[in-house]
Amino acid sequence: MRVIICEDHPIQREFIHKEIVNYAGFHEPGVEVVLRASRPDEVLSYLEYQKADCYFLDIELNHQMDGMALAAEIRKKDPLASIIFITTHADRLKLTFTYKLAALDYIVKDTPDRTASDVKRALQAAFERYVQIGQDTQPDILQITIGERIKNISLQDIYFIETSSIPHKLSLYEKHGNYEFYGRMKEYEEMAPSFYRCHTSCLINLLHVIEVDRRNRTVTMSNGAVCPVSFRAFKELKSRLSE
Amino acid sequence: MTDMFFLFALFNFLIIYGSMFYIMDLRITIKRLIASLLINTFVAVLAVSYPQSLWIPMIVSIVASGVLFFVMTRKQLAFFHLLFIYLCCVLAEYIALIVVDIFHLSIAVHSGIILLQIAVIMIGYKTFLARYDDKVRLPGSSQLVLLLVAVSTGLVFYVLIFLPGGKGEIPISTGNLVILMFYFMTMLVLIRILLQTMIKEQEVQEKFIEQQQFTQYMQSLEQVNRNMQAFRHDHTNILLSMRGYMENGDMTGLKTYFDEEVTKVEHHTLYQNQLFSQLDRLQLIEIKGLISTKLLRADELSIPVSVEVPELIEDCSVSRLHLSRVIGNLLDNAIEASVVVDNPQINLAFLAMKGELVIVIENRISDSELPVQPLFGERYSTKGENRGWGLPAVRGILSGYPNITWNTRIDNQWFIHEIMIKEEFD
Repeated sequence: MRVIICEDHPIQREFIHKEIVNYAGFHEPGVEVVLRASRPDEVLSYLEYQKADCYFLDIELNHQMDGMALAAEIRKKDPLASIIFITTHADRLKLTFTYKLAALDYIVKDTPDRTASDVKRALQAAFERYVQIGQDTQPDILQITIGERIKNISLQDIYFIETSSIPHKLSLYEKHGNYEFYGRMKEYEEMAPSFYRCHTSCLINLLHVIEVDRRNRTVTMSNGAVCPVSFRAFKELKSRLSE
Repeated sequence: MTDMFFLFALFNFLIIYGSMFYIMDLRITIKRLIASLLINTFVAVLAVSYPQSLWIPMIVSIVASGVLFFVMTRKQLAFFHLLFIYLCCVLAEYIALIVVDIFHLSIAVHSGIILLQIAVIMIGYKTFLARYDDKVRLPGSSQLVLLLVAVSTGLVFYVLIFLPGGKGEIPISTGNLVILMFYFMTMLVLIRILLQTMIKEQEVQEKFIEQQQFTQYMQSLEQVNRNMQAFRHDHTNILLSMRGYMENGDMTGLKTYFDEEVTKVEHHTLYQNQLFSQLDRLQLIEIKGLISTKLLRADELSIPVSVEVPELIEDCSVSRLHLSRVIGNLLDNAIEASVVVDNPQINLAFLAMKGELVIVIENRISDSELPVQPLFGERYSTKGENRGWGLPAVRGILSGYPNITWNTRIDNQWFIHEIMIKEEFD
């Protein structure tokens, strides 16, 4: 994994460099720092000809381009890059980093111990991500974008998807929460064999059905929600469930 | 005779229920169709049994269909719409009768004229409604007034048209029509004036709320200013104490003093300053005021809140009143939940993206309590101990906007709400 550091303060820059090299020596020899820049244009000119996987960027760069603008430039060139911001307490903008720039993590300039552990944590996450991108296997997930952030939802955690009163707006209910997004139910029917469209308004995950009510023609899901079953779908639902 | 009557009933059904479904934007389902057909048949049977006094089936029809549509839509306005449609029908029928009478036309032309008039009136009525729909929120009392106006108009119509004829025969005269039209128009104008006044009043009220929020914002700014002054005062004291440590050569004492006192004071003040500099970029005054009040409340409970507004936000395609209710509710929840957490933190962000505004509100939760159950969907029962939370109210507001999507979830000990507001679809 190729790492770039951009930090205008020489002491901080060397400190972070040292921490990364340390981490590489102990844990992942595959991590190498390819550029230590003090100005954002150095990073950009480097990227004209070469590539990197992970960036540590200071927010305040003492330059007309700050770390956020630099990150946006990097994103344009490489949407997959792992970006980690270095900030002081005063301008720690966690949500901005994650939602606007899809930053992986951020490091707060604090006592050396704290900063070091921040660097380690961020590097670990970046490396895991690097490995995952390399394997390029798409596990069973559904991706939802919120701003620039991409949220992966594992298919087996989904209880059901339903239509709303507003056309093309769908609601998804899963183990950790619920989501709304625009789309058509048809696009999701085939995403996994365990999903079944039991009603025009409902696509359920058969793995989470705990009860079928024949009289009212409904199914109860394991999160307590009750979904309707259409007259025609009832028989097929029964046979799908007994499989 | 009976054949004619049932034909008439079907015609009647098409006009009245068709218009109602059209105006109230109801989807036609088999259940609804059967229910309305049943009521209509019942009314038709009544009309056959009491041909002498047509007012009985008419009143039954109005009440029964009104109840039916009220049950289907849960809107009191259904009664009003229904009465309005009836009145229009009576008028249209009367006009058609006169036209047919004058030019000696056939009964088919008569029905054609009625249909045409009703169609034109309904389309006009719907566009009129659409124009007022998002502007006026009618309180129950004025809905009652509207209903009363409609009922009294109905009575006048009845007295003018049905009473003189007596035996089911309708007297036809242009004089009558002129009176009816005049009365009808007067009522329409009155209703319009009523609506206009209500809009005005609402605007005044919104202005007032805006003013109030702005005052609150100013007050919180003053509070921050006072804190800054106190900080300056502290500053001198801090420097003096540090000097004391240095003169004694007490390095360890100086270090602990610096770590414990100086950084703490500084953090707090700088943090408040940061909050308000971020809020500066949020140009929605009502929201700004609301947030600053909530910030002060969180501060009293010593819950750290971080606010991020990286870009100028000047406008938003959601009613300010709705937005402040949603954000107020969610922030209240976040503050309430944070009281019981060991190291609470609330983050709030307004992020302008390409073509959309993303609002994020998150609060840290402890491991043990996972409030997944209050994430009510419409399919969840709202009964039980997890009631409250204001989330159903938030859902009620947000689900009305086609351009808003809302995520609620738990991620790594954070309870997160994400509200995505697309700029108006064109």
